[in-house]
Amino acid sequence: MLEIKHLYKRYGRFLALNDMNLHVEQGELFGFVGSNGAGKTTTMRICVGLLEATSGEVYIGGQDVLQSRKAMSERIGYVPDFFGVYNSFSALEYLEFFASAYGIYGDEAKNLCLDLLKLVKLSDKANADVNGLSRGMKQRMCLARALVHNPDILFLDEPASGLDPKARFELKEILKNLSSMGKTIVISSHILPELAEMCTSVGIIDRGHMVLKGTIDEIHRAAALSSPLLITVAEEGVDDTFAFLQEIPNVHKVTAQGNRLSVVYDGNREDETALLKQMVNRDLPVYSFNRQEGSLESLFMQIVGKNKKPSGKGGQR
Amino acid sequence: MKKTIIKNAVLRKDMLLDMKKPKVAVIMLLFNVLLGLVSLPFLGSTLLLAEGYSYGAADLSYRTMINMFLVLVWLETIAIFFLTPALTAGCVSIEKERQTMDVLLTTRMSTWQIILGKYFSSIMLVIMLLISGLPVMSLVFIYGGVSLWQLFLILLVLIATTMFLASFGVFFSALVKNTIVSVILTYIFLGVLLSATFSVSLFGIGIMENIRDTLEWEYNITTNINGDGFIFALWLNPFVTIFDSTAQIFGYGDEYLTINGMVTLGEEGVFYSMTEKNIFLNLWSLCSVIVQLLIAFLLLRWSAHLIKPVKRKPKKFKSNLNGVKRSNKAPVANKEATTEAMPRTVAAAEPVAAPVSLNKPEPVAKAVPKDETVAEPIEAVMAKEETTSEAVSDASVPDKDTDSDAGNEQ
Repeated sequence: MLEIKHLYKRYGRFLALNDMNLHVEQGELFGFVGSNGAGKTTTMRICVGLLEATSGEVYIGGQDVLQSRKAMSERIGYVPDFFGVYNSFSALEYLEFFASAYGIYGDEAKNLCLDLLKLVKLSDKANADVNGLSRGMKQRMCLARALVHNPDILFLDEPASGLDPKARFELKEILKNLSSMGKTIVISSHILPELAEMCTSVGIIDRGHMVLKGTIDEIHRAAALSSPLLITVAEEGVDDTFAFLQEIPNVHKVTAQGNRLSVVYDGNREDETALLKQMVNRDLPVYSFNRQEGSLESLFMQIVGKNKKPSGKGGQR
Repeated sequence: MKKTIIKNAVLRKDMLLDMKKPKVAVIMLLFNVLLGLVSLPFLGSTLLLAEGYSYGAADLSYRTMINMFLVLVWLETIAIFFLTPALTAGCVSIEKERQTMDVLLTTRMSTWQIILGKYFSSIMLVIMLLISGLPVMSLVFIYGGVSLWQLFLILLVLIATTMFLASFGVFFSALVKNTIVSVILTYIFLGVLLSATFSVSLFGIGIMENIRDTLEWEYNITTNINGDGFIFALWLNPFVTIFDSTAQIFGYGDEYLTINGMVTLGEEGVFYSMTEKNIFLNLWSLCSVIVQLLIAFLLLRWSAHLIKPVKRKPKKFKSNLNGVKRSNKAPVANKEATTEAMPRTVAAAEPVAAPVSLNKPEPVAKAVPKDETVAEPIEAVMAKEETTSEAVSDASVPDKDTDSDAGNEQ
């Protein structure tokens, strides 16, 4: 549905997007995670045709967005990270205006807008002044606004920021609902766990580059694998085990606390099994062998932190 | 089903929003009070004169009513001149300030439609003001002197003037982000326009005349060059347009006081190349209105271009992108591979360090758990080597500590 190829964007000397690549399937609820300034908003604005890309290609449903923006406006719904509402408009009037901007007028527009308000659970606020709505309600109204023309793909820029848990939950429910209707949704946030709760797949972006992308399960697994191995051995075997582990190429760091060894290890489940087998074969007295529970937050920090180090070369130029 | 007369969404929206504000009604009220107050003395004097008739000494003249009408027209002109920038110069920038512009730009509306909607919704206010002044203007019909047709013509000229002035407001509000800056720029520019048209035409005529005289007296060359054409710079001046049209329609009590009259019947030898029959002078008002509307149109087109978010299409991916040095090597070296090997999937149980290599053309990173061994683009490898060497050095130091700790414990 959405395909981004080699997208670059520079602001003067600052390289905001650096060879951005992304592929989102039809019907996916894709989460875009990155710290502030990582390039999430820039990517979205280029996708919806609000920003010039320095170079690269963006395809939505096989059509190049950057080459024919007008044709694409029908297929794209965009909710920016600000509300952009008109004072002294009611929720219904606000939606009707955007319906007319897509060429829908009169009773047809009114019915459509009422349906949309129902969809975002704002039916009772149809005639309320837009300015008097709470943040969560405004956010939902903006979502309804982006749905006026029944787009195939929705871009939501940090929709949950500044919302209280209840509003966040409601928004999440609506998004899941939309996703089940077959809409492709791209949603950005700087909080990975928040997205992990609702998205089908997640991409982590750091300094304009997609550093990790996968389904939620894969991300969870990656999170699990990112945490150290915990190996407990018999007291007398600590030194031997330590020496053995030091020689394993995938092992980056071993620390020992009494007979508990914490091993920073690169490898998947099979590698772990192999490692355990090797240890048993060497008659190392292994009591227990397991992965520490990994958190998404630490995974995110690890990925973003890791890429920060060679910063002399990337990002800012 | 309701019938939709106005199809332009922005125009509908802005008119609806404007009508919700008391601003319009207040301006209209003040405007009409002013017109009324100004017309009363004229009406009064006419009444007094008419009263004098019963004593056989009346000098009742249509001219009084026409003069009243002219004063009203000029009042309206001044009102247009001061109100139009204020009402138009914020129309686009306010959308930018409210951050609604982005949303508007993602809709099906083209930038041209948005600009047109903005333009007409803001001049609609001024036009409504002009129309609201019609009853006061119609006082002139009590005694006559001005026909309905003449009133209509003048209204058209005033509307054309509004359209011309408003296009500058729209243009500046599309140009800058801030409404106040836009309003100030519009006023300054219109002020400059009004004075510059005069100075350009006078300066041009004077310079050309000097050249001719110099050639004639210094070099004995008699030429026919003249700068009379510079007079048409005044076509851009709406005040001159209104002056000419009022003079054409009603006269200022003297036939010389049209542009044509002033140019051709004035002092001998100034505009000797132009005769009374010059069509551009005769049709001064019409020509200048056409030119002004043309300029307004071009300015609006330009504004539509200004608010277009994506003006040029991006280059398709190319290797020699100036200055993008970091990873331009990567996609080039493996161009064919990269297009296919986008990060569609994370190999199920990949180590966390490996995903960095996911964007690289080696989808089988699983087989090579050590990143350094993957045939990667130079830059990326260098970056990673740095990290890994750092990690190793990080690891090696505490290792010894823990080692000795462990030893001590034992």
